[in-house]
Amino acid sequence: MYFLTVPEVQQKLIALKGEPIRVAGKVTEDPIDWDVRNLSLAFVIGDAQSRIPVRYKGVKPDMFQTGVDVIVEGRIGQDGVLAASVLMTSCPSKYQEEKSPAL
Amino acid sequence: MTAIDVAILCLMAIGLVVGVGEPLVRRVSYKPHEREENDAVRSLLLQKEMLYVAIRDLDFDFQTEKVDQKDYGELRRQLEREAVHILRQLDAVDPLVVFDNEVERQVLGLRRHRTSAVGGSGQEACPNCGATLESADNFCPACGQALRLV
Amino acid sequence: MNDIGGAALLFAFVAAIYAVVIALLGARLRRQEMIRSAERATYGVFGLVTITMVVILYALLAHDFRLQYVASVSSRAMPTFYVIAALWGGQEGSMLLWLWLLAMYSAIVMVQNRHRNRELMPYVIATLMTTALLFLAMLVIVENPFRQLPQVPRDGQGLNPLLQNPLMVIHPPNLYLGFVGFAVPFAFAIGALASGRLDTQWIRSIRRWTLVAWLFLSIGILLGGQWAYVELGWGGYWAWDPVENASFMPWLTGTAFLHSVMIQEKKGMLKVWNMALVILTYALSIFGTFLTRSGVIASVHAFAQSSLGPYFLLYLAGIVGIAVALLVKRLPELRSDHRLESVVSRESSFLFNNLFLVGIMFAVLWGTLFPIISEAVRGVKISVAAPFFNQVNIPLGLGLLFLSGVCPLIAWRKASVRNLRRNFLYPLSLSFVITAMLYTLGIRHVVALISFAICLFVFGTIVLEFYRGTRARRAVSGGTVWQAFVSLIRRNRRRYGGYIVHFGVVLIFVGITGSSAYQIEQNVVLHPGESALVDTFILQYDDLTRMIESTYEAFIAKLTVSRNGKYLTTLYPEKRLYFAQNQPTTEVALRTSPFKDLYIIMAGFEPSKTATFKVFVNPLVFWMWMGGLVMVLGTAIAIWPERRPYVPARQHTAGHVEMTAAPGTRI
Repeated sequence: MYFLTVPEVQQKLIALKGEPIRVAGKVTEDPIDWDVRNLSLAFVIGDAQSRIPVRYKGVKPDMFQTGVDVIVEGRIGQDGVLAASVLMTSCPSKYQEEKSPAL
Repeated sequence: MTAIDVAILCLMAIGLVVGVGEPLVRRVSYKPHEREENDAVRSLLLQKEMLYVAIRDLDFDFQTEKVDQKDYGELRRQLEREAVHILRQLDAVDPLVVFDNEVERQVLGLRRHRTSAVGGSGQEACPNCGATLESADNFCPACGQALRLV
Repeated sequence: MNDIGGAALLFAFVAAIYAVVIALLGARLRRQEMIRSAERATYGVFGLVTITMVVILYALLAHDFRLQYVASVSSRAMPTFYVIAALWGGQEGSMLLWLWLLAMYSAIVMVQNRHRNRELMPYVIATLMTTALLFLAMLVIVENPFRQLPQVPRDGQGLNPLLQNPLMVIHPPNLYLGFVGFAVPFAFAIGALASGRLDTQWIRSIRRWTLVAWLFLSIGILLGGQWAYVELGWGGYWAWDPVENASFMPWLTGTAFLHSVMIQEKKGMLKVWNMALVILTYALSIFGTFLTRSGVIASVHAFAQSSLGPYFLLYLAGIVGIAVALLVKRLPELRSDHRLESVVSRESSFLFNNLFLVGIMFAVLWGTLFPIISEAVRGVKISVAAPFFNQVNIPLGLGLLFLSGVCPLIAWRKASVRNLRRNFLYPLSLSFVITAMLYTLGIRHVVALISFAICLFVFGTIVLEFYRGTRARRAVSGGTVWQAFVSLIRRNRRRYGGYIVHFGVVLIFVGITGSSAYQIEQNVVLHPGESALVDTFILQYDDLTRMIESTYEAFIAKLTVSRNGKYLTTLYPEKRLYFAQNQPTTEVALRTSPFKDLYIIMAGFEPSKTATFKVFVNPLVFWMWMGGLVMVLGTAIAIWPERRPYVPARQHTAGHVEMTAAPGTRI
């Protein structure tokens, strides 16, 4: 499985559609939609130049918020949204651990 | 840094230097608690012990039915031969090596092993620990020494 | 006060350098007093590092926020217990703990060997103190725990709430006791290589050290898994995360070493292999410590991106380089004394055991390092995740488990095939019968069935061994069954302690199989008052309450759990908001039983108190932790010194006690 940054994904978007990929990026300031009942989290990762919308089905990780570095695994669908099966947060500034994996 | 800090620091430094330097100053030539290593003897003694352990292992494997009669007999004879060989070598190598009763008894025990296999029986003492034995015993009930090559 | 701590660290640094230099010099010039001086310096390092620890501890307890470290890991409101644990909660402190344990071990080694192993000791000291220097250098130069803040904050940040958990308090010290413990066998290996004293003496000197290190590493790994399970809320205990792997790899080679060492002791074989294993185990320990701290691999475990990487790598390259050079130099003297007599022998099954273990280790290493290699070589980042590790390690692990059942049935040197076939019969029948029963009861998962079958087989062989051994013992010395049983274990601690450890491993496999193959996961959305059915459990959501504690605010859900109409328990999954962290944490609600774990987290809630719960039912997890306890028991038995039934032959000198022990010595 390829491990890419957001700009890299943007570049190769066509080729990567449907491929399982792992992407590291920051949660942008775009609105985050957290549907507690359906356990569905919609957000955007990236930066000013490149962005990817993500939809994750699962529990929202405790550390998840705008500006946090995350790693997502999943496939990009035809609609350009990355359907994520794994979402991990990491906080490099301290000795921290958190894990919110797949379904 | 307070004055107490400085004092403690000095104490630490002095303590370290004294502790570390003392052996050098005393120049104690180390009285060996071991005599000068005689490599040949060391190696033979290690081999001897390895063999004794192997014999014990073998006895135990036989008792717990992992080795059958025939294999047991063969292997044990082989190990005993090696053990006697080592003991003889130890005898010859270093006249300073003192053999006391314990070792003699072991050698005797091994030798007696073979004579009793030939047919000797009757009241015996265990060659290893000296306990009285019944003639039918295959193992000494006191120390577990295998008595017969049956 | 803090200045004393900083100075102590500096003095320790100097003392360690001195120790290395004077020890090597003393070996070269054959001057015992120099080596004695090096020993004193080692004691000195221990004393000084202890002073440093005490100073930091005092600063933590006194809430001295002038120190950056204290401010970053503790706060006024933190319970005292966790303030103490905060000592190793951050980078600098945990390195200090590592160093202190190393210094303590070194001091103990000095004491143990003041009249022994004199030819080896200079090199042992040099090796241990060089390792100490690595950490001292990093502590003094890069991550100094005595760094001060330009402005003293009113309160500290406090320890990450995830770490404020009893398991998390003891998990790092245990792991370190394991990692650091492997430094001692390594030091002795270097000592043997450098001094040329390559007989089995060095191996016997380190036997207990290796067992102790291995034991602590095992406990540390299990505790880490348990902590992940109980605290992190994703329903599992192991994720093949690089840092988890980093602790697992030295465990694998350490286990291999524990077994292959017996072959060297009994037959004088595998000398080079054992040397290589010791070096590898230690290198993996250091490498593991490095991985956790340098941020080289994207891991959810990662410490701060720090500049410690180069220090570790330099040290690792240097020490392994020296070790390998020495090994190559002594190659001619490390020839085997004997050869394998038969393929069907315990020796050869130990060899297979080693091959499996090292094979698993390489698989894990490959999976862990591949991302880095791929990036360095191709510029493409690949990530290797759980599926790879599971695919490779499950078959290998099951094969290894099977081997551990076969091995006790085989004799040393040469097994009689007829006896072997007969010995196989009982355990295999037991396994077959019960597995068939399980199948009829509805267990159909193929891998799970295979795993249970092998577990039963191994269990059968262990029971058979105890039975036969007790019977043989009774035949020799009479007494009741119980007396014979106890006497059997006392006279063969290593063997039967080992069997008990194997039994513990079987239990762990049972736990892993149950929870991996038959885990149930379900999301339920409930309004207060509603119930849901998960597996056989009825969960009734009673209420959501809000509570304020000294360091956090909590939202606590109350769930009444019943089954078949009978009340079982009440569970309280929580969401907490720690004031100092400004981010929520999830508290798992767990009900354990030997059969199933009921595991609930509250994923979120709405103002209307409607809450979403994620519910896991994890079968048999209980047995994993049980297995861990059994492993500890078995290891304790194996480590316990054996009484020698015979008075050893009268010694020529005191130094020969170990070597001329009479045949009563059970190994």
